[in-house]
Amino acid sequence: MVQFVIKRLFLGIVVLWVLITLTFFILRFLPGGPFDSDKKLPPQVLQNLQKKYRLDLSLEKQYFFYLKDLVFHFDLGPSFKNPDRSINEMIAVSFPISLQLGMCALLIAFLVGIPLGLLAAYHHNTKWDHIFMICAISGVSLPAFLSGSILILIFSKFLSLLPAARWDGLSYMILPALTLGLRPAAIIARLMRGSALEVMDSDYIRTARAKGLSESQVVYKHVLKNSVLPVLTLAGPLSASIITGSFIVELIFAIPGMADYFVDAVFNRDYTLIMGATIVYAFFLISANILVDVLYRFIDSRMQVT
Amino acid sequence: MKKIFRVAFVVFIISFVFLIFINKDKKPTQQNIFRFSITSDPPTLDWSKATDHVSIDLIENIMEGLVQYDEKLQPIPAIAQSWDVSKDGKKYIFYLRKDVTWTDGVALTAHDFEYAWKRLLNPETAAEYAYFLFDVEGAEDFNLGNTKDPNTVGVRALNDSTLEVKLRAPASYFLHIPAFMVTYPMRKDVVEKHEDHWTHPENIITCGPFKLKEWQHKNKITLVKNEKYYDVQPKLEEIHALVVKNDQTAVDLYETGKIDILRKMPPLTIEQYKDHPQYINHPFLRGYYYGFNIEKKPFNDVRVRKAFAHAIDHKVFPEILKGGQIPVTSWVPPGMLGYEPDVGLGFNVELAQNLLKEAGYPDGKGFPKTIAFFDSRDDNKEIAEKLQQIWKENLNVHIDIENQEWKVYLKQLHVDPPPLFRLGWGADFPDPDNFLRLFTSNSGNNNTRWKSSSFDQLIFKAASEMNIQKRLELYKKAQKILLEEDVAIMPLFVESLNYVVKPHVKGLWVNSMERLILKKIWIDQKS
Amino acid sequence: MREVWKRLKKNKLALASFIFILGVLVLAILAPLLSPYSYDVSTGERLLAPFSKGHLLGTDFLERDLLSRLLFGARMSMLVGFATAFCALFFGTSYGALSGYIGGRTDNFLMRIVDIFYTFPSIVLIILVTVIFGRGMFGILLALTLIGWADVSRLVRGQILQTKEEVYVLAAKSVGLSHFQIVLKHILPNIVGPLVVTLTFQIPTAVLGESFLSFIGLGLKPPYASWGTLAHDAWKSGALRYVEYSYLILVPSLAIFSSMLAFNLFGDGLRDALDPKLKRSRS
Repeated sequence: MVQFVIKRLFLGIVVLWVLITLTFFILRFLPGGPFDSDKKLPPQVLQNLQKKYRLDLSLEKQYFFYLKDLVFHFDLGPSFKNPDRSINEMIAVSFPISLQLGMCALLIAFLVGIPLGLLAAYHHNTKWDHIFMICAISGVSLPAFLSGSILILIFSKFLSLLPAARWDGLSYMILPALTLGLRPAAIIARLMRGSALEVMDSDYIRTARAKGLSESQVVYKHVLKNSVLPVLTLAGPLSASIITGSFIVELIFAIPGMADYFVDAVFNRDYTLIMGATIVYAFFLISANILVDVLYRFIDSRMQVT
Repeated sequence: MKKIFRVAFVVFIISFVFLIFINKDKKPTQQNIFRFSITSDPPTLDWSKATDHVSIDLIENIMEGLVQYDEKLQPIPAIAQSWDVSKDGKKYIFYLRKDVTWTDGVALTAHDFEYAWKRLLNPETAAEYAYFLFDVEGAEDFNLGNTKDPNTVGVRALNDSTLEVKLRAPASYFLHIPAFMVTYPMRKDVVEKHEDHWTHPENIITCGPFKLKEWQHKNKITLVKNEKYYDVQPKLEEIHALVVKNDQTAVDLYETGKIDILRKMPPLTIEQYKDHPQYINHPFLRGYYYGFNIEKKPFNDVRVRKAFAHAIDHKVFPEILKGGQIPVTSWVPPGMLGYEPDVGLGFNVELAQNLLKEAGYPDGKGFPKTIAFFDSRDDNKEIAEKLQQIWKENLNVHIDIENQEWKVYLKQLHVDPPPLFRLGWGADFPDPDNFLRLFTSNSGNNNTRWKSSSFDQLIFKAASEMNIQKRLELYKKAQKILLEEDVAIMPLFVESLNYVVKPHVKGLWVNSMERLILKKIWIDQKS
Repeated sequence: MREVWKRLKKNKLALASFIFILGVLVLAILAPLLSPYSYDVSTGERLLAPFSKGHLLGTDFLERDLLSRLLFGARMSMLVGFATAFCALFFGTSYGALSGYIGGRTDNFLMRIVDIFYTFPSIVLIILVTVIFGRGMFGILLALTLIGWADVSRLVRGQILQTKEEVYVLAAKSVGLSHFQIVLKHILPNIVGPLVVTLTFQIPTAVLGESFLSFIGLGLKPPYASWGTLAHDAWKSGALRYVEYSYLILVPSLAIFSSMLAFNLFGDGLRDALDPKLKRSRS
């Protein structure tokens, strides 16, 4: 077990390093630089800026310095577009908000997806199956900017129940988390349905039924318990898709998270900001995956024992 | 199974009730608050380094400079109560008010200006707007690093209340420069003590009508009244600037009463508010044009350029964009000195077709494959599609259109300008020099490859001409060369501002520089 | 195959979805014949409501017939969807099959590359690719394929690892068939089911991915339009808030919604039908 964890950690670090290197060099291949704008800077002003941000050095040197700062000081560097703040400061403020939003969305996704999938499986090939699945899949059938806007239209404009946008407390979280959770909810529902169908078809469920257990007991005790595990392992990869998927949601709900760093920073050629956001994202993702794998192994081994 | 349904239903109802309950909004305790949206977190509040509108909007309300604009966008006294200009136009002496203090109670002096200007020019500051002061003697050399000695720069505090500025050449527009935020005074002790963090709310020291209270990054900025402000106290107690990047979201917030003004309206929203009493449409000093690379075929022939310009009916643009844009054939925009509506090539299909025929492409026959470039933005896309249609219909010429992401586009323009390209220009200061100097031979922003020494001479002569009437003559001549004789660019329209303001907001000054000056606004709680 | 078809036919919803998809495809292919106008020419009438004379679905901001744009939009959206899904499937399958079949260190190495792809934020990847390769069809396809292939390769690898040890594969090996033949004839046919299912899920993902690209200003270049760009253009102009203009957004949204739903439901039905474990399923 310990060996397994160490191996996974080591691999994670290697993946992270390759990722940093790749991103660093790909970014520099993009045409245009951080200081190009419709008002072209006089060459000397541009030179001053490049000097300040070490952009006048050779690429290898820049890479070396970047890596050095990162490894020894956990310093992600200055932002080219936000001279008052470092990348560390920017991410420290925005990341927790994105994380909070993502967790809420994931929670909603599981709360919606698992029952829908389970019920659909239970009513396999009946009209209920279809209705539940249509409900679940509706969430992935519209681009997020539309589903979000529709929710705002209904809940804030017509019903005046929830605030239309911004991030100021619990009631502000509901609509964005719901919008963001629609997609993973559909994925979870579908997986849950498949998994439950398999379990229900297995022999021990038949035995359980034969033993005369009540339907609800069968469903709760056996079907749910046995089919939910593979669905739970989705949490890792799903949380990743949620964080990047939140760009549109954060935009239309005016949430001060970090998703726009991935997009705007590329358009602004704010190299250090893209790097910073990517590294934090990858780090988070790798850790989440390792955690899920370890937990899964742990649960799995215990199940085998019992 | 039914039990699950029942439980789910109950949970649903409970959460619904819960929602209604927690959404009971606390009424704001203080009513004298103005709330508006900004499109991003301000990249910086350091006025030597700020370059974008959001930062400028905020800085303009927490700071003030030597001069400010009156309602006609002419410079009037602010911290400088008067000034003298030498006869040759190369020396300005500003006399400062003696009653101005910073928010920490320290008196403001001419040295604070000298420091701020030299900091802006210092290569180590790496300020993008350093070129704003290049008219000052020695400024360019210092910024370039040719000299390390800041004392060679022609700005000097003669005493605590007198600032002397020497120019390298007379500049008739110079008084506009100290109205811009990069020239505002700065506290040396504060900046040097906190370095990059001096703009944080706990450190920043300012002298404008409001001061920075709280800065929640990417979320909200709170300004409060500055009790120590030297002039008439502002009427607002607080200002909340909410970060809302998306225009649609801003509309939602306006319509649900969370912000008091809407400054960027989607086209259909404009249509809806068109006849509303609180709707404001105001010209904005930003020109939109298509330029030719006059070295590239087929636009190396001036007749083709003229034909393209004559084929355009300018009045279609406001119809498409729905924002009250002002169609123009001339370049200096309305609202600015030197606006000449009659200059430029007007809509004349017959003439256009003849010109194209003369150039060797009768009815568009044999016209080479040509691509017009623009940067990916929705309104640019609509305009480009419309132009494509216009040239097809009026000249029977097919122009391909191609868009690029903004930075890629800029790179392309600077390295190898496409035969036909879109660009815009927003005024740095409301003087025609700013709009026309753009197309002089040495301008870094002239992407047309068009160079005209007679045009250059007119512009430079106008800059040192103090008589307004004579300046206007010179600018008119220059515009004729640019737009009628050589047709290096085709201006299409001048953009306009579209605002809706809540009826309780009084005293808003809407101006063509898009400045949001809040010191005179008040909230009428009765309406 | 027949077995599958029989089971699929029983699932009315999946069958209806399948017919719907076929319908959309026919419309997309016949768009030039069916459209009353060209998709990029102005008709001289701006923002006409639906059911106006001559314009069944009205006209848009630039005076273009919305029905024609919708039909041509179907063409573009389906092209993006199918092309991306096939590219992702082809590349992902080859990669996953190679990795899983060879196994050992090579497998390990190849899978680490997939890991790297996974850890790279897909949003940054899409933007980088479209910025570098421009907004043409190629850039968009490449970007969307790059996101899709990793999933497929993992799936295929997993399946191959499972089937590799099955009796019939071992038997085939002992008979002396070449590796290529084994993979092609004995392993792939057994995983073709999951692959087709993946395909039906990749298509809607790609179509929505393209709409995301339009959202950030990197969608198809004008005057071409996909459903995504149609919906986004209308959304951006604020059409959703005003009843009289809502058709601008409702028309493309409904098109997207119904076809994405159809693809997903068909995929689900197909998976059910293909799953041999459910053969005895109660129905």
